[in-house]
Amino acid sequence: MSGYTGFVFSPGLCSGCMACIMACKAWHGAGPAVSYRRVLFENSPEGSTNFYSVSCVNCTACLCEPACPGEAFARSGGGLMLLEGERCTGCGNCLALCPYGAVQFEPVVGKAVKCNFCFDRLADGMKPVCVQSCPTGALGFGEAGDTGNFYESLNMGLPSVPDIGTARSREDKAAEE
Amino acid sequence: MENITLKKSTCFLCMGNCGLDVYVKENRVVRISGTPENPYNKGVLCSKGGSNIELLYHPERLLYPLKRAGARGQGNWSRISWDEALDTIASRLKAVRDKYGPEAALFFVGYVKEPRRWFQRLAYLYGSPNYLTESSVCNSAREIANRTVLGYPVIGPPEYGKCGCLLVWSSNPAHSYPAEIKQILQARDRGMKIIVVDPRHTFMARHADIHLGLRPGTDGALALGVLHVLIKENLYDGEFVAGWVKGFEGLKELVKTYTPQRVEGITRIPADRVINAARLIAASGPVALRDSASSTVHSVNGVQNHRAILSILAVTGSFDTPGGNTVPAGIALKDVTLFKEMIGCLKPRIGEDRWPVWTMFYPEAQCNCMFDQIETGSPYPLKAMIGIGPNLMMWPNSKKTASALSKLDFIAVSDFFHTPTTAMADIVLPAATALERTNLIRRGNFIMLRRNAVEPCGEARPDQKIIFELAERLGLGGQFWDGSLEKALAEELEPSRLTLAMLDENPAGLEVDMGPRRYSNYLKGGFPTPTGKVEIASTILERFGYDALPVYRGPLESPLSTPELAGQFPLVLTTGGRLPMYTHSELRNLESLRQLYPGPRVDINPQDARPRKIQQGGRVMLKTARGVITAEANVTGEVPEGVVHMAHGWPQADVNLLTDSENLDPISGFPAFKGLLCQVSIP
Repeated sequence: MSGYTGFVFSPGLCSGCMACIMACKAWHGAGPAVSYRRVLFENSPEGSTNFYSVSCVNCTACLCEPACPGEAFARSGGGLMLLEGERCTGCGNCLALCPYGAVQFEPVVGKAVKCNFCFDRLADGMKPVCVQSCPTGALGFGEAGDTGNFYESLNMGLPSVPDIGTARSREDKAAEE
Repeated sequence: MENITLKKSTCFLCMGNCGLDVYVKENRVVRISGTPENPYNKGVLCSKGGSNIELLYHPERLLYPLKRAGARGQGNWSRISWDEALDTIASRLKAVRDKYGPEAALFFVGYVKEPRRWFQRLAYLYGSPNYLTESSVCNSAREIANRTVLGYPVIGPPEYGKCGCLLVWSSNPAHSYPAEIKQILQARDRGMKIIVVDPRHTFMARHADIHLGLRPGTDGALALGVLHVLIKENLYDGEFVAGWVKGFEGLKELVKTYTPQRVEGITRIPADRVINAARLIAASGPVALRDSASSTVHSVNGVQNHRAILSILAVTGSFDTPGGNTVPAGIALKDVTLFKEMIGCLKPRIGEDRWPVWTMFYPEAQCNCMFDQIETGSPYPLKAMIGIGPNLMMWPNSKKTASALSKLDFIAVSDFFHTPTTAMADIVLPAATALERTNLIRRGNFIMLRRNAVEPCGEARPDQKIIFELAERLGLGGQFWDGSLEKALAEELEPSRLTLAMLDENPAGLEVDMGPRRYSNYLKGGFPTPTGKVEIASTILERFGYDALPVYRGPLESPLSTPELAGQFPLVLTTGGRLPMYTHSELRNLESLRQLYPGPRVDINPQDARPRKIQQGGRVMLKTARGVITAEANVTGEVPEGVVHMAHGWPQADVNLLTDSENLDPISGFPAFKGLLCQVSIP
C-alpha cells in the first residue's frame, strides 16, 4: 500500500459533525441531490457512535473505471482516479459497482459525478475543501505513508459497505481467479 | 472560473463569526469556504456554515413585506410595500404609546443578534424599557454567576497552550465551538489533561482523561463534591484563598457534608471518580473552565450551581493566571445602546421586581415573566411586540407562550422564513442574511468590516436598515445617524482609533496588537466585586435575601426529590443539547441539512429501550407531567441509562411543550430545561 495518495482518515477524531459534507457542497455548488462526501456511522460496543467520513476512496483496484464505456475515468499523473464528466454516457454502471457509494447520479445533467479530490484546489496548492474544513483534523489528504489507505485497510469494515476486494491489486485478483 | 470575485465575509448562523470566503458571480454566490487566514476558524467551516448558499437562495425565503389577511395563525398574507409596512408599525407603536404608555411595547431580539445594539437604542428612545432578548434563557444567568463571584460578566476562554487541566463543563466543543476543537486536541497531545462533565458520552467525553457523567441538574452537588476533596486533602491554593477569597470558611463548612459518597448518591458519578477528578485538577494546574453558554444554568438552582463551579477556579487560584481563564481584553468599541444613559429615566423593566439581581447586572428586561404580564396586565399592560427573529419555541411551555402572544394587539416580526412566531404576526418583514449585510465583526483583538457580499434577494433588508427607517418614522432619525450605517459604524469605532477606511483596506479583518496579555490584574485594585475579592460568599446575593454561598438545591422533580412522580416518570429528561447542523430552531427547512438529521429524535439508552420494546428509528411518545410529544427513537449509549435527551426547536415535536414555565431559578428567572422527569413509550 505504499505510495497511496488520497484521503486519510482518523476515525477516533471524527465527531460526526458533518462539516465535510456541507463544506464540499458549499465549494462545489452542489445542492441536496448530490453528496460527494457522506458520513457513515455505527454504534460501537461501548455505546457511543463511530463515524466514518467517506468520499472517493481512490481504490487500488477500482471497479468504476473498467466498467465505464465512455472511458470517463482516468488516473491523474499523481495517481488520483478522476471522473471526466464530458465523457460520461450516463449508463450508471459505475454507480452500481462502487461499494462506497462514491459515484452518484446528478439528475440535472444526467451524468455520473464523484469527488475529484478538489483537483482545482490541489492545483492551487490548497487542500481539498473538506480537509480544510474538518474541525478536528480527522480528515487529511496526501501521501498516507505507513497508514496506507485507511478505508481499504479496514478490509471493507465500514457500515453497509460490502467487501468486494477493491483493496487487492488487479494483478492479485487475476492470480486468485 | 471566469468573472468570479472573492469577497471576504463572515458567517452568522451562530455567534462564532467564522470568516467566510464568498465567491460571487453577477451578484450571485456560487461557492463558499472558510477563510484560511481568519485567526479564529483558520479555514474551518462547520455544517451550518456550509449551508449558507442553500439558505440564501431557499425558495421559501421571505422576500417581501407581508400583511396578515384573515385571522391570526391562518397563514394568509398579502404582499405590501416597505412604506406601508413601516408606516403601519410606526403608527401602531405611536398608538400604543399614546394609549398605554411606551412601556407597553416590547422590543425583542432572538436570532440574529447583530442588530441588537441599535434595536435597544430604538426601544429606549421610543420610551420603552422593555428591550428583551433570547439571552433571558441563554447566557445571561452565567454572567450573573460570574459577576457575583469574580466581578466580571464574562471570563476569557482558556489559553489552551498553557493550560494544565481543562475542565469542560457540559459542553461538546466539537459541535458547539468547532473552530476551537483542534486547539483543544492539540493541547491534549502536548499533555493538557481534560475532565469532561456531561451526562452524555459526547465526542469530548471520549477524548477526556476523566468523564464525569452526572445526572442532569446536579452540577452544583458535583462541584461541591470536588471542592470537598480539594479542601479535605489540602489541594487548594492557601495563599490565594487567604488573600483574595471571601467566604472560604463558609464554603469549607458547606462542603463538609458533600463527601464523594454522598455526591455519588446525588449525581450517580462513582465516588472514586470524583476524588480522582479533584486530584487531577490539583496535580495538573492551572485549571481552566470551558463551559457552555447556558447548560449549567438551565436549572432552578442554576446561578448557584454555576457559582459552585466557579468556586473551583477560585480555591485553586487559577483565574487570571497564565493557562487559566483570563480577564477578557479586546478592541474597545463605543456602546451605542444608551442603556447607561437612559434606563434610569424609564419605567421599571419587566422582571425587575422578581429578579432584581439579574436586572441589576444584565442590561435588558427579563422576558420569562413577560407572558404572565401580558395575561394579567400587572404591574402594567403589555400590548405590542416588535421582534427580530423571535421564536416562541425557545421558552418552556410553548402553548402558554403562544396563547399569551396571541393576546397582544399588534405583532411585527422580521425573519428569513415563516416560523411558528411569524404565524402570529400582523406584519412580517423579510430580513437579509449575513451575506447580504454590512456590519462590524469583533472578536477579542480581531476586527473586520464585513461588507455585504451580494445585494439582498427580493426586497429583503438588513435588520439594521429596518431599525433605522422605523426610527425615522418615529421622529428619531437624528438619533440614528440620519439613516447612515457608515456614520453609525464610524461612531462605534471611535474608541479604537480605527477607521472604516482602514478596515476596508483589510477586507479579511485585522488583528490589533494589544501588547502582551496581563495576568493577576487583581493585584492592582482587586476584583470588581463589592469587597474587591472573589466572592464565594456573595455580598450582593446576601443583600437581596438569597443564599450568599453556592448552596446546592436539586431539581424540583427528580428520583430523589419526588419519588412518587418518579414512579410514573422514571427517566431523567435533559433538553437542548446542540445538534451540529442546526442553530436552535433555525435551518431545519434546508434539505441538505435535513438529510443529515431528518427530524426530531429522542435519545435513549439501550438498557432503557429494551424493556420498553423501543427499536432504533421507531416512533415513541415522550411524556412529562405537562404533556406528550411524538418523535423517532435514537437508541444510543451516548446517553446513560436512566437519562433521555431531546434537542429543542422542532415545530412538529416541540420539547418545550414538556418543560416547566412555572418553577424558575429565583435569582435569574431561568427555567429548568434540564433535570426533568419523563417517560418514554411506544404509541
